[in-house]
Amino acid sequence: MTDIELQEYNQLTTCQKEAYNMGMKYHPDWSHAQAITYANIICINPFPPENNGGGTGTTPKDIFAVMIEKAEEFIKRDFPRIYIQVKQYFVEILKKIKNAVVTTWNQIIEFFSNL
Amino acid sequence: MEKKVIIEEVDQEELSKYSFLIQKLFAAIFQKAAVSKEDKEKVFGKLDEEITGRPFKVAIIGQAGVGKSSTLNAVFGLNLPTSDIREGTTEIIEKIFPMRDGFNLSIYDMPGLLQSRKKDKIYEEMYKEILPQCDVIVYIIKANTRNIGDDCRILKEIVLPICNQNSIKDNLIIAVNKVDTIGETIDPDDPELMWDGIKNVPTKKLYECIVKKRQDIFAKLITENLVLLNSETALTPEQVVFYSAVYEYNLGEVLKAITKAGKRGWIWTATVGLDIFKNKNK
Repeated sequence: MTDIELQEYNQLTTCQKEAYNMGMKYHPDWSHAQAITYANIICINPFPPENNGGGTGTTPKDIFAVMIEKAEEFIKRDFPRIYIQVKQYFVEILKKIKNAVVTTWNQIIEFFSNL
Repeated sequence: MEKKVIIEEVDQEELSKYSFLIQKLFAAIFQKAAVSKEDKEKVFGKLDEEITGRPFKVAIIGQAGVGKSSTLNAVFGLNLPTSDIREGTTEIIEKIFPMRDGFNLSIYDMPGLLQSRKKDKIYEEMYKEILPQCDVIVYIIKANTRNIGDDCRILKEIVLPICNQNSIKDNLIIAVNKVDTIGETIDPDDPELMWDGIKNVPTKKLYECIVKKRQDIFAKLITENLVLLNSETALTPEQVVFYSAVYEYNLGEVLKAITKAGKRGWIWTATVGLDIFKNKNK
Protein backbone atom coordinates (compact mmCIF):
# COMPACT_ATOMS: atom_id res chain seq x y z
CA MET A 1 0.00 0.00 0.00
CA THR A 2 1.33 3.44 -0.87
CA ASP A 3 1.20 6.28 1.67
CA ILE A 4 -1.83 7.78 -0.08
CA GLU A 5 -3.58 4.41 -0.14
CA LEU A 6 -2.82 3.88 3.54
CA GLN A 7 -4.22 7.31 4.32
CA GLU A 8 -7.37 6.41 2.35
CA TYR A 9 -7.62 3.08 4.17
CA ASN A 10 -7.28 4.73 7.57
CA GLN A 11 -10.21 7.00 6.77
CA LEU A 12 -12.55 4.02 6.28
CA THR A 13 -15.09 3.08 8.95
CA THR A 14 -14.64 -0.16 10.88
CA CYS A 15 -17.25 -1.86 8.66
CA GLN A 16 -15.49 -0.61 5.52
CA LYS A 17 -12.08 -1.76 6.77
CA GLU A 18 -13.49 -5.25 7.40
CA ALA A 19 -15.02 -5.28 3.90
CA TYR A 20 -11.75 -4.03 2.37
CA ASN A 21 -9.77 -6.78 4.12
CA MET A 22 -12.32 -9.44 3.19
CA GLY A 23 -12.28 -8.26 -0.44
CA MET A 24 -8.48 -8.49 -0.56
CA LYS A 25 -8.53 -11.92 1.12
CA TYR A 26 -10.88 -13.43 -1.45
CA HIS A 27 -9.53 -11.43 -4.40
CA PRO A 28 -5.77 -11.12 -3.90
CA ASP A 29 -5.41 -9.71 -7.41
CA TRP A 30 -7.56 -6.68 -6.64
CA SER A 31 -6.04 -3.24 -6.72
CA HIS A 32 -6.50 -0.80 -3.85
CA ALA A 33 -9.14 1.04 -5.95
CA GLN A 34 -11.14 -2.18 -6.38
CA ALA A 35 -11.01 -3.00 -2.66
CA ILE A 36 -12.00 0.57 -1.72
CA THR A 37 -14.97 0.36 -4.11
CA TYR A 38 -16.04 -2.95 -2.55
CA ALA A 39 -15.67 -1.53 0.95
CA ASN A 40 -17.90 1.42 0.08
CA ILE A 41 -20.59 -0.80 -1.43
CA ILE A 42 -20.77 -3.53 1.18
CA CYS A 43 -21.46 -1.26 4.13
CA ILE A 44 -24.51 0.24 2.43
CA ASN A 45 -27.77 -1.68 2.43
CA PRO A 46 -30.09 -0.21 -0.19
CA PHE A 47 -33.08 -2.46 0.37
CA PRO A 48 -36.35 -1.38 1.98
CA PRO A 49 -36.37 -1.72 5.76
CA GLU A 50 -39.51 -3.73 6.39
CA ASN A 51 -37.73 -7.09 6.47
CA ASN A 52 -35.85 -6.87 9.77
CA GLY A 53 -32.74 -6.59 7.70
CA GLY A 54 -31.81 -3.07 8.62
CA GLY A 55 -31.85 -1.61 5.13
CA THR A 56 -32.89 1.96 4.59
CA GLY A 57 -34.40 1.78 1.12
CA THR A 58 -34.85 4.75 -1.17
CA THR A 59 -37.30 7.24 0.27
CA PRO A 60 -39.38 9.72 -1.76
CA LYS A 61 -37.22 12.54 -0.49
CA ASP A 62 -34.05 10.79 -1.76
CA ILE A 63 -35.50 10.70 -5.28
CA PHE A 64 -36.75 14.24 -4.95
CA ALA A 65 -33.34 15.49 -3.83
CA VAL A 66 -31.62 13.84 -6.82
CA MET A 67 -34.20 15.34 -9.18
CA ILE A 68 -33.59 18.82 -7.78
CA GLU A 69 -29.79 18.37 -8.03
CA LYS A 70 -30.17 17.41 -11.68
CA ALA A 71 -32.54 20.33 -12.34
CA GLU A 72 -29.87 22.55 -10.81
CA GLU A 73 -27.24 21.04 -13.13
CA PHE A 74 -29.53 21.80 -16.09
CA ILE A 75 -29.77 25.50 -15.19
CA LYS A 76 -26.05 25.68 -14.42
CA ARG A 77 -25.10 24.05 -17.73
CA ASP A 78 -27.55 25.82 -20.03
CA PHE A 79 -28.06 29.16 -18.26
CA PRO A 80 -24.89 29.96 -16.29
CA ARG A 81 -25.80 33.65 -15.87
CA ILE A 82 -29.28 32.90 -14.51
CA TYR A 83 -27.79 30.15 -12.34
CA ILE A 84 -25.77 32.70 -10.38
CA GLN A 85 -29.03 34.41 -9.49
CA VAL A 86 -30.87 31.26 -8.39
CA LYS A 87 -28.04 29.13 -6.97
CA GLN A 88 -28.70 29.96 -3.31
CA TYR A 89 -32.36 28.90 -3.63
CA PHE A 90 -31.40 25.50 -4.93
CA VAL A 91 -28.96 25.14 -2.03
CA GLU A 92 -31.71 26.14 0.43
CA ILE A 93 -34.29 23.76 -1.02
CA LEU A 94 -31.86 20.86 -1.08
CA LYS A 95 -30.84 21.55 2.50
CA LYS A 96 -34.50 21.69 3.56
CA ILE A 97 -35.33 18.48 1.73
CA LYS A 98 -32.36 16.60 3.14
CA ASN A 99 -33.04 17.76 6.71
CA ALA A 100 -36.81 17.38 6.52
CA VAL A 101 -38.27 14.61 8.64
CA VAL A 102 -40.58 13.49 5.90
CA THR A 103 -41.06 10.07 4.46
CA THR A 104 -44.41 9.92 2.73
CA TRP A 105 -45.34 11.28 -0.65
CA ASN A 106 -48.06 13.46 0.82
CA GLN A 107 -45.53 15.11 3.13
CA ILE A 108 -43.19 15.70 0.21
CA ILE A 109 -45.97 17.21 -1.91
CA GLU A 110 -47.06 19.39 1.01
CA PHE A 111 -43.47 20.50 1.54
CA PHE A 112 -43.24 21.32 -2.13
CA SER A 113 -46.50 23.30 -2.13
CA ASN A 114 -45.16 25.47 0.65
CA LEU A 115 -41.99 26.51 -1.12
CA MET B 1 -30.94 -2.44 -41.22
CA GLU B 2 -34.72 -2.03 -41.22
CA LYS B 3 -36.17 0.39 -38.70
CA LYS B 4 -39.79 0.30 -37.59
CA VAL B 5 -41.63 2.86 -35.46
CA ILE B 6 -44.81 1.88 -33.62
CA ILE B 7 -47.04 4.39 -31.84
CA GLU B 8 -48.69 2.79 -28.80
CA GLU B 9 -51.94 3.79 -27.05
CA VAL B 10 -51.66 5.06 -23.45
CA ASP B 11 -54.44 5.58 -20.91
CA GLN B 12 -54.69 9.38 -21.13
CA GLU B 13 -57.29 9.67 -18.39
CA GLU B 14 -54.95 8.05 -15.89
CA LEU B 15 -52.05 10.21 -17.00
CA SER B 16 -54.08 13.42 -16.92
CA LYS B 17 -53.99 13.27 -13.12
CA TYR B 18 -50.27 14.03 -13.20
CA SER B 19 -48.68 17.43 -13.32
CA PHE B 20 -45.15 18.49 -14.12
CA LEU B 21 -43.79 19.37 -10.70
CA ILE B 22 -40.57 20.63 -12.17
CA GLN B 23 -42.29 23.63 -13.75
CA LYS B 24 -43.72 24.52 -10.35
CA LEU B 25 -40.29 24.16 -8.74
CA PHE B 26 -38.67 26.50 -11.25
CA ALA B 27 -41.54 28.98 -10.97
CA ALA B 28 -41.17 29.04 -7.16
CA ILE B 29 -37.40 29.51 -7.33
CA PHE B 30 -37.57 32.20 -10.02
CA GLN B 31 -40.13 34.11 -8.02
CA LYS B 32 -37.96 34.05 -4.88
CA ALA B 33 -34.87 35.06 -6.87
CA ALA B 34 -36.75 37.82 -8.75
CA VAL B 35 -35.64 36.44 -12.12
CA SER B 36 -36.71 38.68 -15.00
CA LYS B 37 -39.64 37.72 -17.22
CA GLU B 38 -37.31 37.44 -20.20
CA ASP B 39 -34.96 35.03 -18.40
CA LYS B 40 -37.88 32.98 -17.10
CA GLU B 41 -39.18 32.60 -20.63
CA LYS B 42 -35.75 31.46 -21.83
CA VAL B 43 -35.57 28.72 -19.17
CA PHE B 44 -39.16 27.58 -19.60
CA GLY B 45 -38.67 27.54 -23.37
CA LYS B 46 -35.65 25.27 -23.01
CA LEU B 47 -37.48 23.13 -20.46
CA ASP B 48 -40.43 22.73 -22.85
CA GLU B 49 -37.97 21.73 -25.55
CA GLU B 50 -36.50 19.07 -23.24
CA ILE B 51 -39.96 17.74 -22.36
CA THR B 52 -41.77 17.89 -25.70
CA GLY B 53 -39.03 18.56 -28.26
CA ARG B 54 -38.02 14.93 -28.53
CA PRO B 55 -39.07 11.68 -26.86
CA PHE B 56 -37.39 10.41 -23.73
CA LYS B 57 -35.49 7.48 -25.21
CA VAL B 58 -34.83 4.28 -23.31
CA ALA B 59 -32.94 1.23 -24.59
CA ILE B 60 -33.63 -1.96 -22.73
CA ILE B 61 -31.17 -4.82 -23.21
CA GLY B 62 -31.18 -8.34 -21.88
CA GLN B 63 -31.37 -12.04 -22.61
CA ALA B 64 -34.77 -13.71 -23.01
CA GLY B 65 -36.46 -14.20 -19.65
CA VAL B 66 -34.66 -11.50 -17.68
CA GLY B 67 -37.88 -9.52 -17.27
CA LYS B 68 -37.62 -6.72 -19.83
CA SER B 69 -41.38 -6.27 -20.22
CA SER B 70 -42.11 -6.54 -16.49
CA THR B 71 -39.39 -3.95 -15.83
CA LEU B 72 -40.87 -1.58 -18.41
CA ASN B 73 -44.32 -2.07 -16.87
CA ALA B 74 -43.16 -1.55 -13.28
CA VAL B 75 -40.77 1.33 -13.82
CA PHE B 76 -42.28 3.17 -16.78
CA GLY B 77 -45.94 2.55 -15.98
CA LEU B 78 -46.61 0.61 -19.18
CA ASN B 79 -48.91 -2.31 -19.68
CA LEU B 80 -47.03 -4.59 -22.03
CA PRO B 81 -47.79 -8.28 -22.22
CA THR B 82 -44.78 -10.16 -20.85
CA SER B 83 -44.29 -11.89 -24.18
CA ASP B 84 -44.40 -8.60 -26.08
CA ILE B 85 -40.69 -8.21 -26.58
CA ARG B 86 -39.67 -10.26 -29.55
CA GLU B 87 -36.48 -12.24 -29.48
CA GLY B 88 -34.54 -13.22 -32.53
CA THR B 89 -35.66 -10.29 -34.66
CA THR B 90 -33.09 -8.27 -36.54
CA GLU B 91 -35.36 -5.26 -36.93
CA ILE B 92 -34.88 -2.18 -34.80
CA ILE B 93 -38.25 -1.56 -33.19
CA GLU B 94 -38.91 1.79 -31.57
CA LYS B 95 -42.15 1.99 -29.60
CA ILE B 96 -43.38 5.46 -28.81
CA PHE B 97 -45.74 5.94 -25.88
CA PRO B 98 -47.43 9.36 -25.79
CA MET B 99 -47.49 10.04 -22.03
CA ARG B 100 -49.11 13.46 -21.55
CA ASP B 101 -48.95 17.08 -22.64
CA GLY B 102 -46.65 16.31 -25.53
CA PHE B 103 -44.19 14.26 -23.48
CA ASN B 104 -43.40 10.98 -25.22
CA LEU B 105 -41.57 7.91 -23.99
CA SER B 106 -39.68 5.95 -26.62
CA ILE B 107 -38.59 2.39 -25.97
CA TYR B 108 -36.07 0.38 -27.98
CA ASP B 109 -36.35 -3.37 -27.44
CA MET B 110 -32.78 -4.55 -27.70
CA PRO B 111 -32.16 -8.28 -27.91
CA GLY B 112 -29.47 -9.80 -25.74
CA LEU B 113 -26.37 -11.21 -27.37
CA LEU B 114 -25.16 -14.82 -27.23
CA GLN B 115 -27.65 -16.10 -29.81
CA SER B 116 -25.44 -16.98 -32.75
CA ARG B 117 -22.25 -15.43 -34.08
CA LYS B 118 -24.09 -14.04 -37.11
CA LYS B 119 -26.95 -12.57 -35.11
CA ASP B 120 -24.63 -11.21 -32.41
CA LYS B 121 -22.74 -9.27 -35.07
CA ILE B 122 -26.01 -7.76 -36.34
CA TYR B 123 -27.11 -6.93 -32.78
CA GLU B 124 -23.77 -5.34 -32.00
CA GLU B 125 -24.22 -3.03 -35.00
CA MET B 126 -27.72 -2.32 -33.72
CA TYR B 127 -26.30 -1.36 -30.31
CA LYS B 128 -23.77 0.96 -31.97
CA GLU B 129 -26.52 2.71 -33.89
CA ILE B 130 -29.17 2.96 -31.18
CA LEU B 131 -27.43 3.32 -27.80
CA PRO B 132 -25.85 6.73 -28.52
CA GLN B 133 -29.35 8.11 -29.20
CA CYS B 134 -30.75 6.97 -25.86
CA ASP B 135 -31.18 8.98 -22.67
CA VAL B 136 -31.13 5.85 -20.51
CA ILE B 137 -29.73 2.41 -21.30
CA VAL B 138 -30.96 -0.35 -19.01
CA TYR B 139 -29.01 -3.60 -19.16
CA ILE B 140 -31.00 -6.23 -17.28
CA ILE B 141 -29.41 -9.21 -15.55
CA LYS B 142 -31.31 -11.97 -13.77
CA ALA B 143 -30.39 -12.10 -10.08
CA ASN B 144 -30.89 -15.87 -9.95
CA THR B 145 -28.31 -16.54 -12.66
CA ARG B 146 -25.51 -18.60 -11.18
CA ASN B 147 -22.89 -17.07 -13.42
CA ILE B 148 -23.05 -13.53 -14.73
CA GLY B 149 -19.81 -14.00 -16.66
CA ASP B 150 -21.47 -13.77 -20.09
CA ASP B 151 -23.30 -10.57 -19.18
CA CYS B 152 -20.07 -9.12 -17.78
CA ARG B 153 -18.29 -9.93 -21.02
CA ILE B 154 -21.00 -8.27 -23.15
CA LEU B 155 -20.97 -5.24 -20.89
CA LYS B 156 -17.18 -5.03 -20.83
CA GLU B 157 -16.49 -5.74 -24.50
CA ILE B 158 -19.48 -4.17 -26.21
CA VAL B 159 -21.94 -2.05 -24.24
CA LEU B 160 -19.58 -0.07 -21.99
CA PRO B 161 -17.08 0.68 -24.81
CA ILE B 162 -19.95 2.03 -26.97
CA CYS B 163 -21.04 4.19 -24.04
CA ASN B 164 -17.50 5.43 -23.37
CA GLN B 165 -16.82 6.15 -27.04
CA ASN B 166 -19.95 8.31 -27.14
CA SER B 167 -19.43 9.90 -23.71
CA ILE B 168 -22.68 8.45 -22.43
CA LYS B 169 -21.31 6.18 -19.71
CA ASP B 170 -23.57 7.92 -17.19
CA ASN B 171 -26.65 6.86 -19.19
CA LEU B 172 -26.05 3.17 -18.48
CA ILE B 173 -27.76 1.28 -15.64
CA ILE B 174 -27.17 -2.38 -14.76
CA ALA B 175 -30.52 -3.55 -13.46
CA VAL B 176 -30.44 -6.80 -11.50
CA ASN B 177 -34.01 -8.08 -11.64
CA LYS B 178 -35.81 -11.01 -10.01
CA VAL B 179 -34.21 -10.76 -6.58
CA ASP B 180 -37.37 -12.51 -5.37
CA THR B 181 -36.24 -15.75 -7.06
CA ILE B 182 -32.74 -15.99 -5.57
CA GLY B 183 -33.92 -18.53 -2.97
CA GLU B 184 -35.10 -20.91 -5.68
CA THR B 185 -31.52 -21.48 -6.82
CA ILE B 186 -30.42 -22.30 -3.27
CA ASP B 187 -33.22 -24.62 -2.18
CA PRO B 188 -36.45 -24.60 -4.18
CA ASP B 189 -38.23 -26.58 -1.45
CA ASP B 190 -37.37 -24.28 1.46
CA PRO B 191 -40.45 -22.11 2.22
CA GLU B 192 -38.25 -19.74 4.22
CA LEU B 193 -36.48 -18.85 0.97
CA MET B 194 -39.72 -17.95 -0.79
CA TRP B 195 -41.17 -14.49 -1.24
CA ASP B 196 -43.60 -13.46 1.50
CA GLY B 197 -46.64 -12.90 -0.69
CA ILE B 198 -48.79 -11.59 2.17
CA LYS B 199 -46.49 -8.75 3.20
CA ASN B 200 -44.98 -8.52 -0.30
CA VAL B 201 -41.43 -8.55 1.08
CA PRO B 202 -38.68 -11.17 1.15
CA THR B 203 -38.65 -13.46 4.18
CA LYS B 204 -35.80 -12.81 6.60
CA LYS B 205 -33.78 -15.74 5.22
CA LEU B 206 -34.38 -14.70 1.61
CA TYR B 207 -33.49 -11.14 2.51
CA GLU B 208 -30.11 -12.30 3.79
CA CYS B 209 -29.58 -14.20 0.54
CA ILE B 210 -30.42 -11.08 -1.48
CA VAL B 211 -27.87 -9.03 0.49
CA LYS B 212 -25.25 -11.77 -0.03
CA LYS B 213 -26.06 -12.04 -3.75
CA ARG B 214 -25.65 -8.27 -4.08
CA GLN B 215 -22.17 -8.59 -2.55
CA ASP B 216 -21.23 -11.43 -4.90
CA ILE B 217 -22.47 -9.63 -8.02
CA PHE B 218 -20.65 -6.46 -7.05
CA ALA B 219 -17.45 -8.47 -6.40
CA LYS B 220 -17.70 -9.84 -9.94
CA LEU B 221 -18.43 -6.42 -11.48
CA ILE B 222 -15.48 -4.93 -9.57
CA THR B 223 -13.17 -7.78 -10.62
CA GLU B 224 -14.10 -7.08 -14.25
CA ASN B 225 -13.48 -3.35 -13.71
CA LEU B 226 -17.06 -2.64 -14.72
CA VAL B 227 -17.70 -0.82 -11.45
CA LEU B 228 -15.11 1.37 -9.76
CA LEU B 229 -15.19 4.54 -7.70
CA ASN B 230 -13.63 7.64 -9.26
CA SER B 231 -13.06 6.02 -12.63
CA GLU B 232 -13.28 7.70 -16.02
CA THR B 233 -14.39 4.54 -17.78
CA ALA B 234 -16.18 2.28 -15.27
CA LEU B 235 -19.64 2.65 -13.77
CA THR B 236 -20.30 3.97 -10.27
CA PRO B 237 -21.91 1.61 -7.72
CA GLU B 238 -25.10 3.69 -7.92
CA GLN B 239 -25.51 2.64 -11.55
CA VAL B 240 -26.17 -0.93 -10.41
CA VAL B 241 -29.59 -1.59 -8.88
CA PHE B 242 -31.26 -4.68 -7.44
CA TYR B 243 -35.03 -5.10 -7.58
CA SER B 244 -38.00 -7.28 -8.40
CA ALA B 245 -40.19 -5.90 -11.17
CA VAL B 246 -42.93 -8.46 -10.61
CA TYR B 247 -43.27 -7.59 -6.89
CA GLU B 248 -42.36 -3.92 -7.47
CA TYR B 249 -39.70 -4.32 -4.78
CA ASN B 250 -36.99 -1.67 -4.41
CA LEU B 251 -38.20 0.28 -7.45
CA GLY B 252 -37.20 3.50 -5.70
CA GLU B 253 -33.58 2.53 -6.22
CA VAL B 254 -34.25 2.04 -9.94
CA LEU B 255 -36.01 5.40 -10.25
CA LYS B 256 -33.15 7.11 -8.40
CA ALA B 257 -30.66 5.60 -10.86
CA ILE B 258 -32.78 6.75 -13.83
CA THR B 259 -33.01 10.25 -12.33
CA LYS B 260 -29.22 10.41 -12.07
CA ALA B 261 -28.68 8.98 -15.55
CA GLY B 262 -26.97 11.23 -18.06
CA LYS B 263 -28.21 14.70 -18.88
CA ARG B 264 -31.89 13.88 -19.30
CA GLY B 265 -32.71 11.09 -16.84
CA TRP B 266 -34.22 13.63 -14.46
CA ILE B 267 -36.67 14.78 -17.17
CA TRP B 268 -38.43 11.42 -16.88
CA THR B 269 -38.73 11.73 -13.10
CA ALA B 270 -39.77 15.37 -13.21
CA THR B 271 -42.54 14.78 -15.71
CA VAL B 272 -44.12 11.36 -15.29
CA GLY B 273 -41.75 9.05 -13.39
CA LEU B 274 -42.29 10.54 -9.96
CA ASP B 275 -46.06 10.34 -10.29
CA ILE B 276 -45.99 6.73 -11.41
CA PHE B 277 -43.75 5.83 -8.49
CA LYS B 278 -45.84 7.88 -6.07
CA ASN B 279 -49.02 6.08 -7.11
CA LYS B 280 -47.34 2.70 -6.69
CA ASN B 281 -46.22 3.61 -3.18
CA LYS B 282 -49.44 5.02 -1.76
